[in-house]
Amino acid sequence: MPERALSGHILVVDDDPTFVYLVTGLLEREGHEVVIAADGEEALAAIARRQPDLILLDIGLPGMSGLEMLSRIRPRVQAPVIVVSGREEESERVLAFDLGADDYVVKPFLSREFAARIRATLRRARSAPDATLTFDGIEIRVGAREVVVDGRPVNLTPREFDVLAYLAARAGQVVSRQQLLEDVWRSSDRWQDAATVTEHIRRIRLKIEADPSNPRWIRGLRNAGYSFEPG
Amino acid sequence: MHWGRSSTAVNGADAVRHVDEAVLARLVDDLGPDHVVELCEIFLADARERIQAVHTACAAGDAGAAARSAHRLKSAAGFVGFGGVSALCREIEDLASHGRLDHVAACARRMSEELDHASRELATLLEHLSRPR
Repeated sequence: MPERALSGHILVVDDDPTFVYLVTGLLEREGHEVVIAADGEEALAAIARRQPDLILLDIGLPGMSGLEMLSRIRPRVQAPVIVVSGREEESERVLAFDLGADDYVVKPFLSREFAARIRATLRRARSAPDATLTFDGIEIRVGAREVVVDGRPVNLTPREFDVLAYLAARAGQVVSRQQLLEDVWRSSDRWQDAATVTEHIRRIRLKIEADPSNPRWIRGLRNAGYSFEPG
Repeated sequence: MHWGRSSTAVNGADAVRHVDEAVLARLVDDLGPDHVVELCEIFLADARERIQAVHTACAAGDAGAAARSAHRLKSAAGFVGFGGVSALCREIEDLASHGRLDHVAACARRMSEELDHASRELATLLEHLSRPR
């Protein structure tokens, strides 16, 4: 059975319509949200809009190759990258791993094993003790529970840190107060006032934002929730 | 995963098979018959474009382009169990890498015929696999 808690936002970078349709079907049945990019430029734009939880990257892209794209995104994208390729040569695999790939899968593959690899990769990424979320101007060191803004360490309470890390791990995605209560507080609005979330966001902004009344990092959307803006 | 043609008896008589039933059956199990029908339609439309691209590359004397088109089609064909098409793609890649474009063109023509055979067989197989088992 798929582990629903391991679902994520997955960016598929491939221009082969058969592969894209097949993989989208497999991933959506596992509860993942899928975004498609047909080439490197589209992929870079998609990443700028929202950091994915995992990237599936074909090597043989038109224009910028998958390996070139991998080398460009690796320094600033935390998400694991699974390279998918029709090439079986060891040299291709070694190059992909050296450039920062987390896994290498040869096409065509067996769908159940592929889905299991996705789950395993997401599980590893989410349990990594040294995971660091890096954006332009802010660094969130999840394992060390440290936040650095423009080179300056910021002291957050444990709950404030959890809220910030939760939002930053879903950068670009709107997260409701209800979802924060459920996932960070392990509570719900039946037991806890949603204003608790609002107050924590206010305090976090005071600590990380240069101008808390005009926040750069944590955007509030009326009646919807909050979104961490990757910049 | 099986490659190439096989002999089986889906309709009660042995016949050369162009589509791997086991691959399709797994897809139907994993994705549902409706999704697989659409997947195959997408594949067939793309495959015809890829084959045309191989012919165009041959006419232009561009072995690299012929190999790239065949390479992409090879993976897609493997996903939907078109083993014969996949094997011919491998052959085209090999011929193109040796610059033998005259043979590539002949191989692409054989691939068009193989695709026609396989697409006819696909309809029967999908109907068979879509029945409750």
